[in-house]
Amino acid sequence: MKKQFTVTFLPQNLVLQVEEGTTLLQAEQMAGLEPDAPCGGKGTCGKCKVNITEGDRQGIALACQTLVDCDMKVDTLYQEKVQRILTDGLSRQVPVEPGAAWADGSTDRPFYLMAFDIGTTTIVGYLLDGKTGRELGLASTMNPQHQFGADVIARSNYVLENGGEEMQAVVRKALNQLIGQACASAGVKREEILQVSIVGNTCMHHLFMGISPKSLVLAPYVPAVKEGMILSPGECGLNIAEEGKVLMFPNIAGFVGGDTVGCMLSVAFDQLEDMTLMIDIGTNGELVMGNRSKMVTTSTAAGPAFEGAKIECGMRGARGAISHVSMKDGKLSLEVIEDVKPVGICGSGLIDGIAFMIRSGILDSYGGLCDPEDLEGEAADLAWRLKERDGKPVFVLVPGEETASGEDIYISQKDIREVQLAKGAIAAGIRIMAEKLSIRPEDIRQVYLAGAFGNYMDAANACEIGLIPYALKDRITPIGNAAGEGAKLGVVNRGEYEYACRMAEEAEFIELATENEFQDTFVDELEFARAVER
Amino acid sequence: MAFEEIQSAVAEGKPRQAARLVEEALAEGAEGTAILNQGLLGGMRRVRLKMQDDIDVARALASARAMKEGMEKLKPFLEQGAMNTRGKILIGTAGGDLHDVGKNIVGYTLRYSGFQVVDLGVDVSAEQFVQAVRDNPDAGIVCISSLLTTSMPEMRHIVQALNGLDNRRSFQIMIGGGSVTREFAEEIGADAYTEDAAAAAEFAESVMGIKE
Repeated sequence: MKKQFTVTFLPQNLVLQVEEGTTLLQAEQMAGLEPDAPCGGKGTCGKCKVNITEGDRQGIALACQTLVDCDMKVDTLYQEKVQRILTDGLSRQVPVEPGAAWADGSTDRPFYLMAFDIGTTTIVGYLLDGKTGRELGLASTMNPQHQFGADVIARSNYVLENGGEEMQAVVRKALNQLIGQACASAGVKREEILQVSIVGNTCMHHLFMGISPKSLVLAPYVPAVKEGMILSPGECGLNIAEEGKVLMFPNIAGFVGGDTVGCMLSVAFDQLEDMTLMIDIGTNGELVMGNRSKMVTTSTAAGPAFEGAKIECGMRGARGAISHVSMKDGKLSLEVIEDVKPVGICGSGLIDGIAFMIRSGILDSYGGLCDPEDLEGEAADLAWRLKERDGKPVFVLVPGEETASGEDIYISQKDIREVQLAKGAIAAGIRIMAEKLSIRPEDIRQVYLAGAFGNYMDAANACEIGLIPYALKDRITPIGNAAGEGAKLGVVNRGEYEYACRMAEEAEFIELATENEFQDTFVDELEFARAVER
Repeated sequence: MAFEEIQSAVAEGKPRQAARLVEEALAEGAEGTAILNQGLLGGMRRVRLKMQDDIDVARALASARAMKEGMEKLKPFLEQGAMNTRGKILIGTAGGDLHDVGKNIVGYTLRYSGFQVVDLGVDVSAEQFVQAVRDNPDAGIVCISSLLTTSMPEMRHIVQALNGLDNRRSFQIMIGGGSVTREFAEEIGADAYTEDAAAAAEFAESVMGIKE
């Protein structure tokens, strides 16, 4: 029999007996702590750092790489986890006709609705009045599946290796908790909820439903289930009124899911007159382009750069993240979330930082950082920010004496490469879609930016770095959490839900990987067209 | 001096510059083969050296493009067979996987290291690999890549099918990609695992019996 050791997690003071050889990350998961482990415990992302305060080896360590081999006390608060979660969207008004009713035919009894947006990172639930459609409250949480991997590929692989029960159980539990929270603060009973709608990307959809994600990670990456589904609460493990209904939004493709359908519903995409591009940037950039005559969708493997992953000083949009960088009175000026000493840089700050470097001539069109002595005129004042770290060039945003950790916060040459790959994939996707519709990118009349990132990022800078065609820079509107808005519309009006299902079928999906021109277009779009050519 | 500049343009991934410099060198009367060997291929050697240090996908793709643009300009001035004299290599992404960035980088690197590369594309089945070997009996190496762990069973299947061929001794099987390890290569009966494009080119050179 293996030895047992006691691990105490602080500050919760959770005590757990674990077998020798268990990793601290596994122990955290067993204790229900839901640690942040975007790389799935491979020891590569460095996000699961903990502080071991008692034990043979004390100090900061990666939880996933630390085996329990003695009794330990571990402080898990080393990583700040407060997140900004986006809950507002741009609303379209629809009649309140939820298509849900009490089984006994009672019409005076109040009832409620709930709309969920299950994101890979966060889950948001909205509580609505069944009769007026008025929003009564909302509740949100980090997606607890994060502990099994940050992205959909990592989670799919986890399920293929370990089965999907745990993955399904944690998300269902989270939804039930959110229902409880929202009901409690609005003073209503969960048994009075008659209808729930759920949007999520295809993988989140499959994991929630307990459908194997295998087909999502094997070419040609198609969903096992595309169609919208109306289910009973029992089938979904949700504790609401017994006679209630759960509306699952449909999927379009393996990487274009019900969340994108929700976004399309929120703007009634297939009724738009103007040629429109809708972008939702996360780990994958989902794109919808078209108008009332034709719609195409695609998904680009943008990677997690804009979520701060794979970026040396990267972090998510949490407390201490540099969220904006600009030029003020000839000086570099920073905006930090909650105005504290900066900890790292998040996606919007990264885009701004790179746009700043392009404008000041620090970055060339191929993405190379210049030598400090090449900077002339006003830009020469920035020369000190160009340094070398481990022999590689970096651009220092904040010198160590002004940061939380005492270390420089910088954008490295490697970070710039990651951004090139991410923005290149999205920009190439936009170009290929435009070709499919026989238009030029500049023919697009309006750009809708959905999702949290679209809301926080500076649209002009996104155009400066070429993430969005520069010609469109004055036609961009952030539309907030459009996926969540779509979920609300669907739960408030059954006809809207059915409309969403039809729209999902109408939209044509383009698989970029099999488009011949994609590779060349992608390489073209790696460049920064607005930067100097050296 | 001109050759040195062409090398830099390729190594730093500057396609337009590479094309312009090749044109200039031609206008100044430089020999096509000299531009190729001392200029473009020299740049590619620098790319390979850099790869060993730290793989930079964006740069590698841009370098391949610079090489391609340079070659376009140079081709009319080259004798037949100036490139691709070092043997033939088949390459493809294992069935179930549509990711081709890694495979393409390896493909370009091999091509611009002087090999003739037959690209079988993405999502290539065991049957397609076997057919490709039959169609190209002179191929010295078959490269199989996979990014996702989910296509590893298919990779095993492909290697098994290739190992059953009568002319198995006439070619080597090299595998690579995000999900693959040296142990896995040994386990499934592949001849080699290479970590990156530079290592792949080195292996190809050692197999084809050519030394610089």
